[in-house]
Amino acid sequence: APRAAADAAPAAPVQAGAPPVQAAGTLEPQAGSATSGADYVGEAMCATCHEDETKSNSTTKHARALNPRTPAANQTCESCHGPGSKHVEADGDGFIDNPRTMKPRDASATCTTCHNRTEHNQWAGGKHDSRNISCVTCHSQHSPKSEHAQLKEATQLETCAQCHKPQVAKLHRTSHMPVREGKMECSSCHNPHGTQNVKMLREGSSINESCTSCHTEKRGPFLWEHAPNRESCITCHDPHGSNNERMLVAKAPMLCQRCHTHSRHPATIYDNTQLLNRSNRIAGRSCVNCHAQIHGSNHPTSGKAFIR
Amino acid sequence: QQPPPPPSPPPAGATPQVDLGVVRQQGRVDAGFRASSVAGDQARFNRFQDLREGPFLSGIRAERETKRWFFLGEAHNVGYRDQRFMGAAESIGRFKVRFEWDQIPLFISGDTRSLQQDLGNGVLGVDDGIQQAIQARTLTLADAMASAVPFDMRSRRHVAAFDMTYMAARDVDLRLRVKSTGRAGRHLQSFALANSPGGFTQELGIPIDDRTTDVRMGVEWANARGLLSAGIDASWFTNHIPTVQFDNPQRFTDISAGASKGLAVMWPSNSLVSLVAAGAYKLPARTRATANISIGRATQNEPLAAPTSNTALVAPTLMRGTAEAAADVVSMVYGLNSRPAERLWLNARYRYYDYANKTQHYEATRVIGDWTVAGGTAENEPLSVRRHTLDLDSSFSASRFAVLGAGYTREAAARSFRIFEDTTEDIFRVTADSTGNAFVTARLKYEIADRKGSGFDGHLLEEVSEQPDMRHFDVANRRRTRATGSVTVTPVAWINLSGSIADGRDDYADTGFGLRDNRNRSYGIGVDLMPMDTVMMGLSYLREKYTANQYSRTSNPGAQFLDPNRDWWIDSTDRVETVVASLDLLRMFPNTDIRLAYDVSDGDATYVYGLRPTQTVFTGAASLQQLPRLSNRLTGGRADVQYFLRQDVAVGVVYRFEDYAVRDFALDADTVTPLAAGTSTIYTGYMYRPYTAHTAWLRLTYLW
Repeated sequence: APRAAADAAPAAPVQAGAPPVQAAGTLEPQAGSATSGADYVGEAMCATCHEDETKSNSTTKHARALNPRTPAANQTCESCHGPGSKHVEADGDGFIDNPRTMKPRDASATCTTCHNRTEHNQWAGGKHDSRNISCVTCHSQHSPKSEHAQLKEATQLETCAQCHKPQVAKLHRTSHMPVREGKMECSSCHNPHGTQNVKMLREGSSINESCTSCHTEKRGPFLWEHAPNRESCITCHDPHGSNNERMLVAKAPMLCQRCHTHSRHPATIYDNTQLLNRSNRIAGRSCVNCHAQIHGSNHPTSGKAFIR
Repeated sequence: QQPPPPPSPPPAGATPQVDLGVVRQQGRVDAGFRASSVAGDQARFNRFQDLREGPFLSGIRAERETKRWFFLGEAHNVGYRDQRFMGAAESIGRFKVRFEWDQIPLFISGDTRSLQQDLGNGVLGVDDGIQQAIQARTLTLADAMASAVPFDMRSRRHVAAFDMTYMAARDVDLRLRVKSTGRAGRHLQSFALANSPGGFTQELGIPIDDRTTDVRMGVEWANARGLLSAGIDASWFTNHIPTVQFDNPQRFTDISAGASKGLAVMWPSNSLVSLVAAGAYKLPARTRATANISIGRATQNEPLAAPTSNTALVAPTLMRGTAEAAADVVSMVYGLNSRPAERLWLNARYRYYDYANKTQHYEATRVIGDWTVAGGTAENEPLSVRRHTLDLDSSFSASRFAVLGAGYTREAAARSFRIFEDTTEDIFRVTADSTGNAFVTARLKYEIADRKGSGFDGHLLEEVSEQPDMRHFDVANRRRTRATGSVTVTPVAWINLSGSIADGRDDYADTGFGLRDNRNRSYGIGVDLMPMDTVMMGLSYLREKYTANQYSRTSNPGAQFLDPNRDWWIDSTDRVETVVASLDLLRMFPNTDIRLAYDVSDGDATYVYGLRPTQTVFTGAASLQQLPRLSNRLTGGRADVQYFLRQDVAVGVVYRFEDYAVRDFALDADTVTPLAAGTSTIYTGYMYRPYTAHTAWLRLTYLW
């Protein structure tokens, strides 16, 4: 007999003070939804077959019934999976929306019905959306492995590394951000759900504004500006890591000589002879041995060359 | 499909029909003893962490959730320099608060020494007797260095952050975030003294003491149709040591060609305050429009320091007393995303960014360091940049999981004080992606971009004696091609095979001098296996290669400046291989979890000079001597064995191995020691040194 005949009676959504309304928190039907024309049957009915899923859901944020924005305060399981009456009538064979098997963008549309605030507001049209990545590519509602954010992998780094291996590999280089050490995460700089900034950077509206949200001392404006510092930090630095000092994209003085071919010392060949003579234009930290304030200077008379 | 009937509201005064019992109450704590042995550069090993030997209390996480409340507390490495504490509470459906205290160490070197003593308030001083003796030539600098005092070159960030979100109504949130980051310690910088810029440099442990305070507050309304938010983002950076004065060990008295003291101006206090607003609205045909606007002002008005600390120089008069630096920053992003048909996805985004530098004109008589008045004046160049970026993307669903995409971006930028007043870049891209398929995930992208500059201003090159054919690569004409691809195949549920490849090239065809070519190539392969629920293993290999070519000319003003026989170039190559392997055996053996991991990052780099056959740079017996090869290899291994005595109590041992091998010609011991290399540089002893570290944790884990 169809399971609809089971004892479990359709349960009304949990009351949480204010009555739920058709708003964030209730699935907006997707075109071609498997649940078209079905009615809601309630969580208790779902649990008759999907005990494990109901249980795994019960300790997540989705199950917080006092928050009127959650599925628990609305149509519970059917907030995400759509109304289940046809599914029940078909003895569990089809007629239900499963984000794991839906088209990626349909799955994302399901999640962003509720997850539409600050953190997720820029999902549609963002980099990940444009490449057909969906919420369930990284997250799992019923079998997450992470302590935070219900990721499919144990850590955020492992999650991102699935696609962004070269960037993660750079964390093993001599000069790197403290991600390996657990003091930062990919999401410290990036919002994988999309942002107003380029490169899905979380802060600011430019690469520099993102970097200087922590490195505020380099924000300026300075009395004397150095062009690449105002233009883009990644002109000189690789934020994911480098084997060069201070995450530089190339070793100094060669890096500086990519722009400075002036007469006199900037265009000197700093070969092994210069090195053995311990010229301080190649030894140690090279150009910044003297041009110490290379990000910009406020010195009233020596700032032009970033020496003070 | 019928919309769900709105449930009846509960009678006034009725108790909500909610079970308010405990949903979850769990936690864990790790405690025990950590043993550590580091041979070599301890500072680099502990650069951002503190794994010193001793008892430890870490991994603490306690959470309790009822239907009405949620509490979470965390603590890590308690009592050590990288300790972190976090607490969060949420009244479900009403508000949530979170507080975090995090300390991030930056250990640069533990082997540094200096003659300069920190006298407080940004003053570093050398013993007067040493200065006098060296000046009188009764003591050599090299001998004086014997009395250099060891010190740790380290600093630490102390980050305190408080976040609060108050759900004022079902659709309305009020948000507040306050973050205060203090930074104190010593930072590595070097400054030059004596009679020419390259003549005499000394590395210093610059004292730093600064604080950044960020405040972000706003209100946000959102429902299924749309979103509106407005707020303020403010950030203040305050440097408590705005200048650092340091002694010249070689001079006790000032002369016009050499100062007894140097004065460096450190990071100026500054602020950035922005009003921000965002909106989104859902339109028919699965279309969504978004807008983000930010209008802000960056200011910096620090008092200007004295023109020089050298009393023997006639100090020029300053044009004004404070920096009077400011910039108006306006950013707008408008987006329109639509899925008008089942298989079609369209996206348009316009981005406007304007950094309008309003710093007042400033002109100064140049003083080079504190050793000479150079003559002539220098004018500031308050750089501004304005960018208009239009992204147009589309994709077509070829099948349930696969999409084919095409996109175009045009970025037009206008700048001041750059060699090109305007640049325009056209970017075309095609993509093919298959995601969500249980058997194959594939991502392919090809991109071609063309950037052109206009309004070339050769005067800017001329005034700094730059080669007229020099083009700064960040604005130069550029042809860029990039191809990336990755495929993951899952033939059966327990096997994942993956491969990736990337090839990118930047050609600066119109560049005579400067960076002319930049190329990157990489490929990687990997396998992940889970033959049974208790066994997981993974192995991946990635090889990357980066090459570049840059062109220059060694010349003094005059005939040399235009002599092609003085041209030279560098072909640089950077190769890195990365291997990551892991094996997890979770309960394969009774009550035992075993996790093993190994990784190695092995890189080498070369910078090879080239000269014309007719070159005149090297004459006589002198000849070009190529630089040595650079190499970096970081090898790490970790074994974590945990045996559960009971369901909630486990004992375990973690062993971690890390070996760092490095050859860096500019920063190795042969180059930067002795501390005084002649009279040209006094190094503190900061260098690239290898280390081998063994760390073991004997731990007791309690879970509840």
